[in-house]
Amino acid sequence: MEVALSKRRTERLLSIVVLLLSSRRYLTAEQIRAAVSGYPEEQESFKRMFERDKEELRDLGIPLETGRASQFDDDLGYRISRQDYELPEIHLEPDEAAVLGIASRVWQSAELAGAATGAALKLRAASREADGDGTASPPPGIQPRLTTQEPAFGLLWEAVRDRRPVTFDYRAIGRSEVTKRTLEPWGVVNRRGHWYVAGHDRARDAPRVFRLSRITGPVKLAGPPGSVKVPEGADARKMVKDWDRPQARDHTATLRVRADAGFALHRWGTVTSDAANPGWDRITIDYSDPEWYARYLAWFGPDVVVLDPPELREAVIRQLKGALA
Amino acid sequence: MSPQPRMVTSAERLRRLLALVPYVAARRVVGLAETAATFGMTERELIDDLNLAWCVELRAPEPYCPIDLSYEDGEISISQAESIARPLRLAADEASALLIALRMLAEVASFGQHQDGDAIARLIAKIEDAAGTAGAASSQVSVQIEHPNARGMAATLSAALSAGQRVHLRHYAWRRDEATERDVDPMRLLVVDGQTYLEGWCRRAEGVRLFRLDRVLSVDVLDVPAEVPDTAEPVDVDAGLFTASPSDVLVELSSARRRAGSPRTTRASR
Repeated sequence: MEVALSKRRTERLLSIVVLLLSSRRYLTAEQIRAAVSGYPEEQESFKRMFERDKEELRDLGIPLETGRASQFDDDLGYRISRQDYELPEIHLEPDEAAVLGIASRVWQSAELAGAATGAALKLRAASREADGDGTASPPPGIQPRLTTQEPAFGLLWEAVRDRRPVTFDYRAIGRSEVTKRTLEPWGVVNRRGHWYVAGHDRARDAPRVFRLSRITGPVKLAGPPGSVKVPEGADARKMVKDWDRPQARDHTATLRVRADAGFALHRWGTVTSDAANPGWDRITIDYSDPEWYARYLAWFGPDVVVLDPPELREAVIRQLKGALA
Repeated sequence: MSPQPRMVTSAERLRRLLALVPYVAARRVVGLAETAATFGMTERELIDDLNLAWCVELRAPEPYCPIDLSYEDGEISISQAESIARPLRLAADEASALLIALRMLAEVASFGQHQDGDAIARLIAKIEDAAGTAGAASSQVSVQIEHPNARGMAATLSAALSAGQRVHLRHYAWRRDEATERDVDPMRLLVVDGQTYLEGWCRRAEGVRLFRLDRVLSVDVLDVPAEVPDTAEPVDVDAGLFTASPSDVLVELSSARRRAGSPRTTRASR
């Protein structure tokens, strides 16, 4: 039942597209109703249905124009300009078609995966030469995948695309409390597999970067399309890069590590043999965050002993006691 | 990626039809199976769509059927497609999704020394041209891939891959904190979630394995042709690199002492 209904609707929408594309004049709702099967007799339900159909066509990106059907007629009419509707001529070389195949499979998120495959199909439909492309056997090379597991991505993309401000709750790094932020987003950036949004934070009246995985709860649109002005020279990519700069490894630890264990510590640290303790090496190595590094060292269990500094030694001991508790 | 039967909305179906009709019309004759595969649908669904297009009838001013097509012996042809013979313009989401993906590919290709670089640049220019303002928003999204250590490695492996040669890897096994040595027949280079991986047939494990390039300590290209067994199945990265399975348990890691920060959630196998 539902399938049949949806099928009739598709038929009706397709008929409207064909009809309005072939007509140079604006056609009134009544003229459309007369030409297209599937509209009800009753006037009110026809109007409702027609309104919904128009909305659906516009959502698909079909440039439905409105204008006066004739100078003697007060009724509004509709048409679709061929020039606005049609994808311009495009000719794809075989290697371009192969690349198109790879690009259309990059997105793994609901938001943009469908859009990318839809676009690729349109381009292939526009170009005869796109045949023999890479769908069956992609050429060797690097195949990237982009995932957007962060639920905030969809709305932030919409906000950036339509230049609309957003609000969301955010938990900053190292903070347990959540704060409400209002942001004029300038750009969304993926860096090392993580998504960020950069823009103007209204409350702080300054440029800020937010990591999408730290946004808690829903993102809400907080203004009409076009209300965000991206300043000249704003570079979201650079903002995120600066924000994500790795912390300086400004601490040095001295460790005693079992000679046949701690491969990573041996490789990335400076090793001297420990004469007093056969079977053990003495390693000095730089690190940035003591808490994080203590957790990492605790993972080696009895194969690593921290000699210095005392704070790191204490932190590792706490970690190990915590694991036993 | 085998097409799975699912409910398609009338809007999605219309979108598909408006690409399908021009696709067939531009080709005069095209295979049914091939078209179904291109559009990610079953042959049954494709035939349903063709019937739907063929049934379109305009009743006024004079009744006529604008679309005429036929399918037989596994081939489709459209003799009349009327006003929908050309595909619809790219929508903003469509143009942007492709352009973002292509710019990411360009960045990846630049360190892999891949010959695709030129084709990517040409395709980007053509799509920007065809999309017009619809592609403008794509500049608001960017993907950065940084491989300080993997850059040279990727170039070496990419060359071995094109030449079909076996490689010898010294690889740091993070979980076991040790270096392992193995011969691998390369299958693909993947970039997933910002990390670059070599997928290959590991001759030691006799199975398909993924090696994170930033954990590869050294690579030697061997003077031996790669032999990837026919049974080697590529890892299905389309569902995410680490697929959840029913035996997974969700582990909530939270520490009372770590006052700062949120409870962290990790998925562990079994």
